[in-house]
Amino acid sequence: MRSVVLVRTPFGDVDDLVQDVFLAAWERLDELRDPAAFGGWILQIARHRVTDHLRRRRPASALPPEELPVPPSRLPEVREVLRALRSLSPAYSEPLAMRLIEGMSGPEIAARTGLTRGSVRVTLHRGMKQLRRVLEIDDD
Amino acid sequence: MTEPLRHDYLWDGSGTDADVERLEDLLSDLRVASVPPSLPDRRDWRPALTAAAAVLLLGAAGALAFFGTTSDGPAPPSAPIAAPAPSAPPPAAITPTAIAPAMASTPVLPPGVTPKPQWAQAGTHVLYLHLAPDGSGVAFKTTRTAGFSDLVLGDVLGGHLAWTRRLQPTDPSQSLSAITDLRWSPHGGSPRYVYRALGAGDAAPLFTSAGLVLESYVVDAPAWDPTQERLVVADRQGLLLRGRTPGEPAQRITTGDHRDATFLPDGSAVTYVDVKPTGAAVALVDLQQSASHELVGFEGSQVVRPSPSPDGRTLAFLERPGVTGDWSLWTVSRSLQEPPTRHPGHYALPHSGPIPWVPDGSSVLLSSGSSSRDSCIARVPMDGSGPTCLDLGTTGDRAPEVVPTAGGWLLGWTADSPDPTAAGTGLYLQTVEPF
Repeated sequence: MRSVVLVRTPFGDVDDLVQDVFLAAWERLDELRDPAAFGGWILQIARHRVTDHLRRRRPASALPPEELPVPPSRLPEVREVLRALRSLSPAYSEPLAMRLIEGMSGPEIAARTGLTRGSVRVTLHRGMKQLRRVLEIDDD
Repeated sequence: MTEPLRHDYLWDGSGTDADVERLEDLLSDLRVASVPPSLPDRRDWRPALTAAAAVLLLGAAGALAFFGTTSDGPAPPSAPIAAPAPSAPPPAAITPTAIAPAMASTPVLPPGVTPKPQWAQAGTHVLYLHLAPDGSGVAFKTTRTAGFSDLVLGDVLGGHLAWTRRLQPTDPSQSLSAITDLRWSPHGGSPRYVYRALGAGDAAPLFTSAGLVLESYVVDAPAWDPTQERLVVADRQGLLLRGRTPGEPAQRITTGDHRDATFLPDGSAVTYVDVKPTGAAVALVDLQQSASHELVGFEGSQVVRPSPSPDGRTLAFLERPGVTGDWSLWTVSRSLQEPPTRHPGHYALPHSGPIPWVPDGSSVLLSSGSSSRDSCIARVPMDGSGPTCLDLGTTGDRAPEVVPTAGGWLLGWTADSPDPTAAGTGLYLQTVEPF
C-alpha cells in the first residue's frame, strides 16, 4: 500500500498517510463484507485518504523539494523516474509502483488488489510501455 | 492448475529485462519504510502504531474470513514458492551464505595501478558489457537517466578502449534502444557480431554486423558455435540451429520453451534452460546424436544461464526459488558423475550473456548481491574454498567479463562513477595476471 500512496503524494507524507489509512480501515472494518476483498478495500480507502490529503495540502510550488531516502548520486534519477511514474494514470502507476518499488511479482499484485492475473499482467505491460515513452521523451 | 512459467521479467521476474531491472534498482531505496531523519515532523510512535493497526486489521479480516462468511472469493495471497527440489539431489551439507561486506578480497591489479574509467559520462550507466572472445573489442549498453539506451561498440588495443561508435539500427524506423543482445563472433571474422532488434513484443529479428537478417523472430540472445559456422537461436517453439548465411534453412534441434542456449566449447552440444510449467531444468542437446537430456531440474525455481567451463566438463548456472531476490550459483558436471553442487553466496543476475568463467576454468565471476552500492565482483572458485571479492580499486563493481589475451587476462567491469556528485557508472578495462 505504501507504493500506492507514494505514487500520489510526496514521500514525506507517506508514513503519516499509511498510518491514517490503517486507522481508518480499523474504524470501518464492519463495512468489509467480503474478507477476500480486503486488499482492494483498503487500497480504496488509501486512494480516498490521499485525495483528501492533497486537497488540504498547500500547493506544490509552496513546498520545499521532496526529500527522498536515496544516496545523492542517485537522487536525480530517482526523482526523474518517480516523476514519470506519477505522470501515468493511477490504473497504471499503482501496479507499476507495487512491482518496481515494493518488488512484488505480478501474481502477488493480483492477490493483493483482487484483480485478475490477466488484467494485472496486461496493465503492467501497458504501464511499462507508457513509462518507457515518458522517460524517453524526457530523456531527449 | 499451476500457471506455466514463462520468461516475462515484468510479470514474475523470470528472464531478464534490463530496463525494468534498472528501474527496480533505482526505486528500491524507496521500499524502506522509514522517513529520512531530517524531516521535522517525524513521530516516533508512528511506525509501531501503524504496524499494530495493520496486524489488528489483517487479523480481523482473517477472523472474518474464517468464521462468518460464505465467500467464494479469490484465493488468498499466493503461497510461498516451495524450496528447490533438484531432480538430482544436491549435497545437503552446503549452506548458502550471503556475501558479507567483510568477505575476503583478492588483489588482482598490478602494483601501483589505479584503474581509470575507459568510458564514463555523467548521469549515464553502463549496463551490459561484452568483451570479444579475442579481447579485440567491447560492446556495452548505456542508459541515460532511466534505462533508455545506446549500444556502443569499441576497439580494444593494449587493454585500453581505443575508439567507440554507437551501433546504428539497420532499420531506420527502429530506435537505438531496441538493439540488444549483441554477441561477438568467436574469431572476429565476418560477420563480426549478431544482435537482436526488439519490436513490440518479446520476439525480434536477428541481424548480423553486415546488416543481414538471419531470423525474423527470435525470443532470446543468439549463441555462436566455436567454429563460427553456426548459431543457435530460440523462437517460440524451441531451439533452432542455423548457418551464418542468410536464407539457409534452419534446423530445429529442440521443441519446447527453451532459453539461454550456449554451445559447449567443442561445438558438439548445446546447453539450455528448459522452462517447464512448474519449474525449470538445465538440459543438453547432443548435435551429433540429435538427442537431448536433462542434467538437473528444479521444482518451483527459476534457472538461468547455463554456462560451460572452458573444458566443457562443467556447467555453471544460477537458480532462485522465487521470482525476486538474488541467485544461488550451482555447478553440474556434464557427465553427471558428480552430484550438482550449490556454491556459497548469493549473486546478482548478469545483465546479459553466460556466467563468465576465468580462462583457466578455476572459478567464475559474478556480481555479489543486487545492491549496486556495495556490490563487488566475486570470484567463486570451483574448489569450494568460498567466494572472495576482487580488489579492483573501484566501488559498486558489476558486470564482470574476462578473456585471455597475449598479455594476460583482460578483465572488464562496470563501477560507480569516480565523481561522487555525478550519478552513473563507468566502463573499466584492465589487463591482469591470472588470479
